[in-house]
Amino acid sequence: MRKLTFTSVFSQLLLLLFVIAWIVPTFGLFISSLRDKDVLAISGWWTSFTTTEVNEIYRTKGKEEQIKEGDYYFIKSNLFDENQGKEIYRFGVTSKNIDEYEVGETALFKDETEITVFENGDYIWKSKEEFKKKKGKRIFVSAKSPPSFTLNNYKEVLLKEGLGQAFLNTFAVALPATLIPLIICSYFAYALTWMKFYGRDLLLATIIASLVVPLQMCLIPVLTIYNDFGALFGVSAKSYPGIWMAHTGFGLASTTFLLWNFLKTLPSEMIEAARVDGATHYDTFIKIVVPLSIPSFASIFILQFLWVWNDLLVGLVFLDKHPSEIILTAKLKELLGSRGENWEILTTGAFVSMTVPLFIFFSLQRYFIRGLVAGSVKG
Amino acid sequence: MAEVNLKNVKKTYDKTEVIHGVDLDIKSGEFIVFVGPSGCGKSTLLRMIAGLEDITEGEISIGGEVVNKIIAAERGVAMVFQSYALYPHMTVFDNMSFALKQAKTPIDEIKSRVLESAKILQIESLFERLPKQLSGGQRQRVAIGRAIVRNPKVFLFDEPLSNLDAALRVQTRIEIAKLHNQLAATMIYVTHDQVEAMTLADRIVVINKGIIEQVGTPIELYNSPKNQFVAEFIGSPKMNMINLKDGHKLNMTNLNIPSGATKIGIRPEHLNLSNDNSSKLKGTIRHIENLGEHLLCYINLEKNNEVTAKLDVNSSIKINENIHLDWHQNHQHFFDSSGVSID
Repeated sequence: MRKLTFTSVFSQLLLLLFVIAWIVPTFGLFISSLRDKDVLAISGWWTSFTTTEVNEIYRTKGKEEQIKEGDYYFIKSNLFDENQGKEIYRFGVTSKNIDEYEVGETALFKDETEITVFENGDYIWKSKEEFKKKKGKRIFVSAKSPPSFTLNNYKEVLLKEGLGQAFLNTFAVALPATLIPLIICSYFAYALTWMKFYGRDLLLATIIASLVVPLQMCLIPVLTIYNDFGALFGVSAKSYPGIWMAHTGFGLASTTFLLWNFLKTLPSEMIEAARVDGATHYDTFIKIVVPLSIPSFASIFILQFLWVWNDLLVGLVFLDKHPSEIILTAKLKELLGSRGENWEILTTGAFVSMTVPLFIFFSLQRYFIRGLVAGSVKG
Repeated sequence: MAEVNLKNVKKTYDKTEVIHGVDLDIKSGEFIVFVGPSGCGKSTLLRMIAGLEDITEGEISIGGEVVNKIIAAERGVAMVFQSYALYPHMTVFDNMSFALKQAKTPIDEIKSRVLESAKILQIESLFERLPKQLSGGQRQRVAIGRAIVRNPKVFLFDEPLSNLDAALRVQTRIEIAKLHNQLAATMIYVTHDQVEAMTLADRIVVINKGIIEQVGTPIELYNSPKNQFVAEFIGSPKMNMINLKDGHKLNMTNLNIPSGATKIGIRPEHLNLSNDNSSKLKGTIRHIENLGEHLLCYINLEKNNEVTAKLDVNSSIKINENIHLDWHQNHQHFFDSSGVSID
C-alpha cells in the first residue's frame, strides 16, 4: 500500500483534473459528430443519451393516397418518413394548440374531416367526401425521441466537403516530412556522437542554439527563396517537395538533438568492439546503431509526425489552397469561415483531424513518453 | 601468434602527456599483464595497441609490422572488453560471427569456426540466445569466444573479470589461463587486480603514471622489486616500509644496512614472532583480524608508525600486548631516498 500523503493525493487529483479536461471535450466532439444535424443545432451532446421530448411538424399525404371503404374515404399512412423510433404522446392540428389531443384520440379539422394519430406515427384520416387537395394537412406532434446516432455527417464531410481529400493531402505532407528528417538526422546524430572530426563540438553547439530560433521568423525568408527559385525554373513555389523540405529544415535541429541525446547513451565499448570486428562507420550505423535505436526512432517519428499533422502555419504558407494541395487544418479553417453555422460539419471535421493523433497516441504511447524524456532516463 | 613491440610510445591528450615513452618487447605466445593503479595509463596503452587510440609518438609493431597507421580491424588483434560489449540485438551466434561476416568469410567457414571456438568455451548450447538471456559469466565467455573466432595474432583483454562476482572471477581466471595454454597465442591483459596479474602472467608489466616501473615474471617482481612502488603494489597486504631514520625502534645490529638506504621493506608474511629481546622490531598489537588460515596483526611501533604482520593462527597474542618481531635476512628490501631498490 502506498502512503497517502498530501502531495500524492494532490497529484492524483491534478491528474484526474487533467484527464477530465482532456477527455470531456474530445468525447463531446465525437458524440456531436455522430448526431443528427437538426438535433445538434438545438441541444447539447450530453442530452443525446437520454430520451428527449421534441415538438415537430409533419404533413399528411395528399389525395393520391386515398382509398374508399364503404361510405368513407380514408388516407392511411405514417407521419415519419423512416422509422426513427420516436414515440408520439400528444398531437395537434392547429398551430395555436399543438398538443390539443392525447395520442389515439380523434381530432376534427375545420373541414369536418377526422384524424386519429397513433403512438408510432400511423394515422387514419377519415372523410365523408373525396379528398381534393394535393397537399396534405399539417400535424403537430409532441414525441419522445430515443438516442439516435448517424454516420451521415461523416459521409457529408468526407465526400462532399472535400475533407477526405484534405485528409489524404495531410498524409502526403506528413509522412515524407517525418521520414526525411528522421533519416537525415539519424546519420547526422551518429556522426556527432561517434565520429571524431574537426569542429564537431561547434556544430553541436550551433544545433542546440538554433533550437531557440522560432519557426515563424524563418517563414518569410524561406518563402522568398522558394519564390526566387520557382521563378528561375518556372515552377510553382508552392508544392509538396517544397513543404517537405520546409518541415525537414524546421525539424532538423530538434530531431538531431533528441537522437544525439539517445545515441550517446549507447555503450562506447560496443561501438569500439564493432570497430575492432572490422565494421566501418557505415556498417556500425546500419547493423548496430539503427537496430538498437528503433524505440527512439519510433518516439521521434511520433513527435515529428504529430507536429506536422497538427501544423497549420507552414501548410498555409508553403501549399496552395486548391483541393489537391490543401491540408486538413487549412481546410478546417476554411470551413470555419464558410460553414460556421453548420456545427455538424465542424465537429465532424475536427474529429476527423483528431483521429490520426488519437490513434497514434493510444497505440504508441509507450514510445511517445520515451521520446519526451529522451536522454533523461536510461534505457 | 606474433610478437608485439613498443618503441618509445607516447600518448598526449590536449597537451597533457599520459604515456611517457614506453618501450616493451612482448614475445610471441607470451601472456603479458599490464597492472597498475587506476588512471595509470594501462588501458590507454592497450587501446593504442588495439588501434582504438591514436599513437602520438613512437612505434607499435605487431608481428614485425608497424601498425601505427593500420586501422583496428586490420591489425589482427581481438579485444575483450570489461563490459563484454556484446551486440544486444544479435544472438550469440551472430555476435560471434559478426567479425567474420564483415570480412566476407564464406558461410561454411564461418559456421565451422564459430562452432570450433564455441566448443572450446562450451557455449554451443547458447547459440540462439540473446545476450540479455545470459548470465554474466556466459556473456564473458561469448565475448571471449567472439575474440577466438577471429583467430587473431594478439588477444587483448581490458579488465575482463571486473564485472564478475568473486567466485566466477576465480573460475574464469583459470579458464583464461587454460585457454592461453590451449591456443598458445600472444595475450595482453590489463587489470588492476594483482592476484589476477600474479596468477595469469608470464611476465607482468607494472605501470604507474604513464611509465613502466618494472617488467618481470611474477616471482621476480615479488622477490626483487626494482623500487618502492612495485614493492608496495605487488603482494597483499602490501609491504611494510619502515623509515631507517627512526632507527631507535629497530635493532640495527643485524641488519647490514647498505649505504644510501633510507627505508627498509619487509612483507607482512615474512614477519615472525620472536621471544628474543635482541629481535629486530618491537611494537604493540593494536588490532587482530582472524582470517582463518592466518591472523592479520596491525602493530603500532613508536611514533605512530604501523606495520602489518601475517601470523600463524595458533599464535597466542592479544590486543595491546607488546611483541617482538623478527625476519629472515633474505626477505628484507632496502630503498634509497628516491625509492629505488638497493641490493
